[in-house]
Amino acid sequence: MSQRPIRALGLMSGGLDSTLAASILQRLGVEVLGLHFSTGFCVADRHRIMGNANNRNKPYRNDALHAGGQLQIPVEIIDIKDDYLQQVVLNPKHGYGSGMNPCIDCRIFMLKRAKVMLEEGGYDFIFTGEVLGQRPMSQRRPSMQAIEQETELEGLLLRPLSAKLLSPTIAEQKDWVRRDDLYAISGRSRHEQMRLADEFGLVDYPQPAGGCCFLPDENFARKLRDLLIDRGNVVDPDDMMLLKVGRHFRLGDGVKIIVGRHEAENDFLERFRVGRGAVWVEEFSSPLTLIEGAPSAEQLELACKITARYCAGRAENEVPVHWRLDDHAGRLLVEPVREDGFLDEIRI
Amino acid sequence: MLRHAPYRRKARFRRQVNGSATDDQLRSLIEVAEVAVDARGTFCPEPVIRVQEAARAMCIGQTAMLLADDAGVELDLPAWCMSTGNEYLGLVREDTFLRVFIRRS
Repeated sequence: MSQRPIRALGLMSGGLDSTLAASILQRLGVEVLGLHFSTGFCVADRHRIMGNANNRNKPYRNDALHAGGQLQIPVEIIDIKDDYLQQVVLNPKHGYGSGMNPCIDCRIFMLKRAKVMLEEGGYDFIFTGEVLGQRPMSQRRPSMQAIEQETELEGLLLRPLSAKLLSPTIAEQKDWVRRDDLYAISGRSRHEQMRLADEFGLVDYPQPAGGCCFLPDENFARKLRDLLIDRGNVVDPDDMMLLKVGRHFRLGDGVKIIVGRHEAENDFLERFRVGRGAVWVEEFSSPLTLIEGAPSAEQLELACKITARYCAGRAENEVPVHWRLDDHAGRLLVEPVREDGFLDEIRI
Repeated sequence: MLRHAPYRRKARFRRQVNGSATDDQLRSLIEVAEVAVDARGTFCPEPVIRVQEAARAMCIGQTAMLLADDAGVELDLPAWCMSTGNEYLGLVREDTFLRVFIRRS
């Protein structure tokens, strides 16, 4: 009678570490299912939405799916945007890192989801590509232990890249995987991972340590903080999408504008026009500006002046700018904003 | 012991990206695909999530047609098929969107 294969669930971002972790277990005969959680804050998602600025015909790929394709392991994409925003980003129990990054809560949230799937799907353990000491918040030994405790995954969470530096898990104790076949990688350097990738024949992987989340990003965090203060924490995933693109200017309480920086951003903003005001210049190459909130006449004029500032006719004395707010539309002849200092003051 | 057989993967992956059906076969599938998934107006990874959901309800051998205007599906669907063992048949470019075909395996 043949023995049931050992089955493991893994958190897969598609980065080098999680791909290697999956590859290691696959080589040890473990049946692997990758879970890719779509949080709405992935930098790669933004790149894909914007397209390749140098070549619009060459789109960006989803790294987790690509890794699954390369390794021929199934990868399931799970949309957690709404719950993630409300439960993790807006109300982190363990606080934020340098930006708005609730890394410990993020890990806990994803691992709890994975644990449900582990129990429902009859899997044997969970693995991640975490490396001891690689990240200052969630990948320190005390944090890793706290995460295991809070998710009630003690002994069930294997980190193949650093396993030899951590307590043996059930998978090692039961000899599902031999501890000797696992690794003792620690720290921020990716040299050992790159050497392993070479050894495993993984030649096409994303830039190691590229950073895959918007939340630690200083600029993104500033815009998010501004939005949360302005809206009193009442935001939705569409608001998060819009934080990833354009120049943001706060014109007053409850009123801000988003100015597209290039054609791809204009195309993106175009999809969010419903329910928002819009400003653009037809006579010159121009950004599309979205208005959030209900602007006063002065604020609308300022939005037109800022849009004119970023259009190809910015050197003109006056630029005709078109606007639309709900069912009202019009055209204003305005002088483009000249003072960079003023723009810096209202830029978020 | 670790086993070493990685290089085959990449070559197979490249073949899969091209799709297994001819343009004529794909055109004829437009009318007869058993399942249609419309993901126009959504961004990656939403189109793949919708295909993933649809595939769960499909029988082996059935064909699904994904309509999407997110260019990323061109790379993501072949990768998804490769990872899940489904068959990537190919895509047809319309003026403003793509029709991508897969077969449940």
